[in-house]
Formats: sequence, C-alpha cells, structure tokens
Amino acid sequence: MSKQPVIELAGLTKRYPGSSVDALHDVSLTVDAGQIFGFLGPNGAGKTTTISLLVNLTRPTAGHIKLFGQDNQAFGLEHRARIGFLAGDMALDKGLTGSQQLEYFGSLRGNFDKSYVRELAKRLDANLNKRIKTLSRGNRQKIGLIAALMHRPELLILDEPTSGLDPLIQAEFNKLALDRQKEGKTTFMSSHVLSEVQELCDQLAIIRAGEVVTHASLRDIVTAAPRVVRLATDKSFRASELTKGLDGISNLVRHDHTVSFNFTGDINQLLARLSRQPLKNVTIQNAELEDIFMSFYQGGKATDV
Amino acid sequence: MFKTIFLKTLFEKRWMTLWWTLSSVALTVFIVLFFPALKDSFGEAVKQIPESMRSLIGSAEDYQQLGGYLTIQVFQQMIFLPIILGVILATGLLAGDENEGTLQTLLTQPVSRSRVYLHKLAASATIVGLVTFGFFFGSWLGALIIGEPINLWRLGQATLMAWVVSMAISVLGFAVAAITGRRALAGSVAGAYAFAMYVVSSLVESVKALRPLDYLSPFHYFNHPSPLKAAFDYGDMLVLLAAGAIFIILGYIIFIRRDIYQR
Repeated sequence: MSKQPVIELAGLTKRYPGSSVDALHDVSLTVDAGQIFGFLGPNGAGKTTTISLLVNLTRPTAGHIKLFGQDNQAFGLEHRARIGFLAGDMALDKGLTGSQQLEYFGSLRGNFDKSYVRELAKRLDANLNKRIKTLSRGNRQKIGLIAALMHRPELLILDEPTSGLDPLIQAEFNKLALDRQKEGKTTFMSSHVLSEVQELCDQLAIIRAGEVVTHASLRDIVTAAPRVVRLATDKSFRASELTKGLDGISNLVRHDHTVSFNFTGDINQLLARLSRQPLKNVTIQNAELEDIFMSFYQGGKATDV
Repeated sequence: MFKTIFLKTLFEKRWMTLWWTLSSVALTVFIVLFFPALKDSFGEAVKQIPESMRSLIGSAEDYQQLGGYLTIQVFQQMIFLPIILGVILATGLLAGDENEGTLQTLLTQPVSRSRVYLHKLAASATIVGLVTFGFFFGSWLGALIIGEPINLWRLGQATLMAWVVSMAISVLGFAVAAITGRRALAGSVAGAYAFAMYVVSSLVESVKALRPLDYLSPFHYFNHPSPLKAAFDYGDMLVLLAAGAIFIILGYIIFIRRDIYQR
C-alpha cells in the first residue's frame, strides 16, 4: 500500500460566478490509501462542490487537488480511469436498460467485466433488464453503484451514496465498502446524515459554510467532545474548590444537592479533584454523537483533535 | 452499439432518426408526384404573382423542369425539416443532457470533453445527413414513379448543400449549447437566426437594402444559384463549411474549459 495520500486538497477554494462568497474556502485535507473517509456537512455546506472538483466537472478558483500524488487538472483523464463515482441521484440514460448503461460505461472504460457486474447486481439485488426510466430512485441508485464499482476502482467517490436505498441494500453496500477497504482501496463519501458514515468511516471531515471545521478520526472527535458530568453532593460541596485551576469546565449548574457541568479537560485531574469532594454519586457521560455533530453543523469552532 | 459515444447516441436516437427520415422521403415523394399536374397550371399561375414574391415560390420557368420544381418545393421549402431536427439534436445532445445530469455522469467516466464534444457533433451530423438524404431518395423515387428524367449527380450536390446548410445552422445551436449549457437559449438563437436569414434571403431580390445581411445568410450560399439549376459552386460550400467550423471551434474551446455543475 502506498504511503502517499490518495486525495490531497490544499487551500482549495471555489467561488461560483456572480457570487460574492466562496462556496468552498481554503479547504485542506488528506485521505490516505485504504481509508473510508466521511465528508459530513449539512445541505449547502460545500460537499458536492468539493466532489465536483475532485471529478473534474469544475475547476478550483484557488488551491489545488492531487489524486494519487498527481495534479488533478493535468491528469484528470487518467485519474477518472482509477475512480468510481456515484452521485446522490445518479442521472442515467433513461432510454437504456441497466445492462446497456453498464455496457456503455464499461466500453468507455475499456474493461467491462460482465461476470463481476452480474455478481454486483446479485449482491445489490439490481434488475439490469428494465429500462432506466421505469426504475425507482433506489433501483436507479443500484445501477449507479454498480457503475461506480464494476471496474474495481482504487478510489470510490460517493456523494450521498445510500439515498433511496432500502436498509438491506445499505447494509450490503457497507459490506462492499469494507471488502474494498480490506483490499487497500479508498472510499471518500459525503453525507449529511451521521448514521450513514458512522458505521463505515474511520476518518471524518466536517464541512460547514464552505470551510472544514474538523478533520480527525471518529474516535478522536468523540474523545475530544465535552463529557457531561453529574454529581450528587451534600451541603458542604464547594464548587469553587472544584473549578479553581482546572481547565475545561463549562455550563456548570447547581440544583440543591446536584451539580452538572460539561468537561473537556484532563479526565485524571478531574477525578483527582472529585476524590477530595464530599460526593454521594458521580456519572460521567460521553456526549451523544448526534449532539457533537449538531454542534459542528450549527456553528461549533474549528477543532484540532 | 455501445462501444462509443457516437454509436450509443445513434442507438438512442434510432426511432427519431427513422421517423424523420421516413417523413422526409414520404413528403418528397408526395411533392414530386404533384409535378405533372402542377407543371403547366402552376407555372401559369405564378406568372400572375408579383415579381417580389417569386423568390419565395419560384418563377414560371422553375415549374417547367423537375430540377427547378424540386429546388423550390423541396430544397427551398422543406429545408426546414433537417434544420429543425438539427437544432433539436444539436442543442439536446449537450445542453439537454447537461440539464438532465447525464452529461455530468458521462464526464465522470474516463472520457475527455473533446471526445464527448466531437462524438455528439458527429452523431447529430450523421442523423441530419440521413434525414437530408431523404430528399435525394424521395426525389429519385418520385421521379421514377412519374417517369421524369432527373440528373442524380446534380440532385446529390443539392442534397449535399442542403445538409451543409442545415449543419451550418445546427452547429450554431451546438456551439451556444456547449458554451452556455442552456438548451432553450441555444435553440432560440439558432432558430431565430435560421428564420431571420430565411426571410432576408427570400426578400433580398425585392428589398435591395437587405443585400449586406444576405451575405450572413446560409441560404444565400445554398440558393445562389441552386445546384439543380446551375453548376455546383464549391466556393459557396466552402463559405458554409468555414462558418460552421468557426462555430464548432468556438464552442469547443469553451466547452472543454468551463465548469459543468451537478444538478
């Protein structure tokens, strides 16, 4: 496996003609080989803008993209031969059947493996004999997914990949992505739904209003998130003795014999302080994952984790 | 049929091509079948029409020969058939696909924009060519039925010019579609240009002030004079080919560079 990042974005900026703000501003991130990388953000955050740049549909206003260590503008054609791409609602040729569409894309790629296409169709329960225009969104998405996977791409780029898919097929898609990971292949998937990437992704970037607000592993993001601490105390509890000189406490609320606060500092220091307090009970909870992401979506600060 | 963008486009448009070509043949045969009946009576009637209108419907002499009759009734008046089809295709294959999102899907495959542009252009030229060939085949078939002699070489030249004129207008639509990605705009520009230039070329004999504008009209180089009535003018064809090439190059330069947005 190469140590070179598969995707490298540096200072990537995109401003659309006629707009006074950047749709994407100074985005830098790397995705290594073998990663399943989640690119999370609310609608309109810049996910599709980033992906359009990755697949050469648009050009950056500033900054650059390297894929497989090479400039993506200069080697776009070569890169697309190594990429599989699936849009959120893949537009396919309505007059063709699924198998005709796949044969067409396979011919353009020059490596159409019919038996692998049949295998994928079986796994995803896709009907390749119906015309695209007669298929539901979910069934069209299956054809798009096969088109993205059928040439065994080194890099799979997915924009909201499971939209329209039923849960069973989503689960099969997850298996496919994990199988690819075992082969050292890379997946970059955008989503606005945390649960979609939670099961799959080892690395995440969260984008909001065109800027990456965090870029880390899911575990690090959860670890760095504030814990909710709840104490049951007696009357002799002195909050000042707990907080004095201890960083990372916020939103401290006291009600009779209970105290609660958020804590982002060193857990060992906190436990040492608590051990000196007259406590009846202590609970320390990790923040709910959804809450962490909502805080990023709604305006959380950039985090170095 | 799915080996190339060109072949896939022809496959996708096969029914459209078939019906337009059959219509072109059928209409042409139908018109030729009327020639014996109209030869004398219509020629006489035309003499009563003011001189200024004769560029539109032809002179009495035109109706005495099948070549002149075909020039007026088929190549001058039915020319809008391949032009309309050409504009529909030329604007649909790029901008139409872009509006539907299928162009974006295609461009994420390992194909260059140059290849997409040229294959789609070639497909539209082929389909327009087949429909225009319907004039040739229909004229020949009609002439055979009514037992009139016809110069097939001249007929072929007139058919070739009809295709070149249709494509000169179609590639304007193709270029605007490639540059803007807006099908309605491209269709409007090409359609308005074709209609305006047709009017200019039709009226130029009686309205001398239109003469400078007539040089911008593809019909000027088609009907001036008609290949069925006089020797083929290769210069006229070159002017149309050069104009078409300029549109194609302009469209190409911008299409391969511009942003194409996902839906």
